[in-house]
Amino acid sequence: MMARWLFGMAGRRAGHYLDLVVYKAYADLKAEASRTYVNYLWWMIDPLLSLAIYYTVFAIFLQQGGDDFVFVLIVGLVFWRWYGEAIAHGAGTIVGNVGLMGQVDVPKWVFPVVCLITDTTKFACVFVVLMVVLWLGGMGWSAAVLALPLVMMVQLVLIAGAAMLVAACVPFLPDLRHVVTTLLMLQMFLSGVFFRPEAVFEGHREIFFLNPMARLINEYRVILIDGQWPSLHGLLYVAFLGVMLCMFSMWLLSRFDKTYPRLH
Amino acid sequence: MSASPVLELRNVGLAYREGRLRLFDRRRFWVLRDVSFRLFEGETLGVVGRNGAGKSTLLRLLAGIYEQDRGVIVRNGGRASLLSLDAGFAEQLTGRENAILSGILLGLRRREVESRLDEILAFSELGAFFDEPLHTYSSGMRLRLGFSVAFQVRPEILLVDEVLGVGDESFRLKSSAALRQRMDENGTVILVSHSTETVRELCDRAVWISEGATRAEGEVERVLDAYLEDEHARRGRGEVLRESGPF
Repeated sequence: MMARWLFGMAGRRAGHYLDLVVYKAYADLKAEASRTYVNYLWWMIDPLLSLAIYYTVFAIFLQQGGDDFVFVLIVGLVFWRWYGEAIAHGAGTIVGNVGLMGQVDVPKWVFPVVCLITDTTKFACVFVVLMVVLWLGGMGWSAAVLALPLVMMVQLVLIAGAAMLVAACVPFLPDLRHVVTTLLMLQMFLSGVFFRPEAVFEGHREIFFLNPMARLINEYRVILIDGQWPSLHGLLYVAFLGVMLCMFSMWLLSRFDKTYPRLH
Repeated sequence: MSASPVLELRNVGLAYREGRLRLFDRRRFWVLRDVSFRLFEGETLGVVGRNGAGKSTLLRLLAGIYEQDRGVIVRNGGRASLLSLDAGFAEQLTGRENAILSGILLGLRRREVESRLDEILAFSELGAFFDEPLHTYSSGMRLRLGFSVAFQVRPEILLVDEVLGVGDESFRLKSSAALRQRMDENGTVILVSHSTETVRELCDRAVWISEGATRAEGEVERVLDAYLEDEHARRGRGEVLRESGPF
């Protein structure tokens, strides 16, 4: 199955799939934008609201976090949101396209990948704002910023793997969509979105870092706030996890390629 | 018929499972039980059968959307594609954008669709509406756009379900004339219909499918006679024609 898929990708169809994914992503983004402009604005407003809430609770009420706590929060929230949104949306991509799958024979990975592209495009807008905010906030960037694209690539691979996995499983277990929302909430609390790993009891820190998002969010802060280089060993762990997830979900999607159109 | 067939079905069956992941209750409903026929290059093969005989399922199977649960499908030619009139259509996109998206979904490269946009526009007779969003279209205009795009795709095997001509009267004549021309031009076509008139007029050979199984295959007149005879017998027994199948 894997070999068949790889061969298919390398073959003459690759260009066609590229056309399909790119144009479908463009069409989805345009369709969404014309439905509601607030939708795009929401991508900016929502992290700001979360920021306000967490800042009030942690910095003001509980008197936690240092002087740079607002930046710690904003970095955590922006990169978490990219992950959380892409997976939550990705979960519904196969079930949401059953109608289309009944008309044309399309490889099913196309649907979660298109969703990943649209969510990543929206994230890109927020990311630009984040960089401006950090710059205005006087975060002196060091050469370590050069490592930022690498960390983001690793996160993209991780998101792709996780999003395709839930997309592949939801058609068989529709209730999984609700479970995914809850699990994402749980993972958010375990990823240190509003605290730094130093706050975790030292004996538990290794377990804390088993969570790939906890690692990534820490690396982002190390680069953007501390101006240090990220840990290569940590990135390799997340990249390995992401690649394994991608391969497994691709196998699932290709294994059940002809089954999905028959599930109603 | 000494040439080898481009497509051959041998005792093909396809079942729907009830429920999703019921591991212990695998009740199956066989939509197709035992379908066998051959398709030769350049011919128009008519598939007749009453509603619910499994014709739509058969087309999806031939298009590679479904996979059979038993039997063998031998493909010696290229891709078979359904003539889909609204594949991937989105309300907020313009006619032009929907044409490109649908064309890509139906198997064309983006530059191929873009180079044929003039033809699509001309055939669809949409004029300035071509650059308006789809939600401003009437149902007739949608069909015109859909047909004009689908007609630009030339799969090796074209699968046509039931309706030949679509839209209002004048466009119906135009679209069915275009399809007839393609059939005459030696296109390989499978035409599914419950209209014996259409099959008699257009097809080179015919297959009769009843309750998911092939009952007859071959010369159009012979197959249609058998089909009609059975229909009369059923009516004589007081069986009412089912209006809709499992879909």
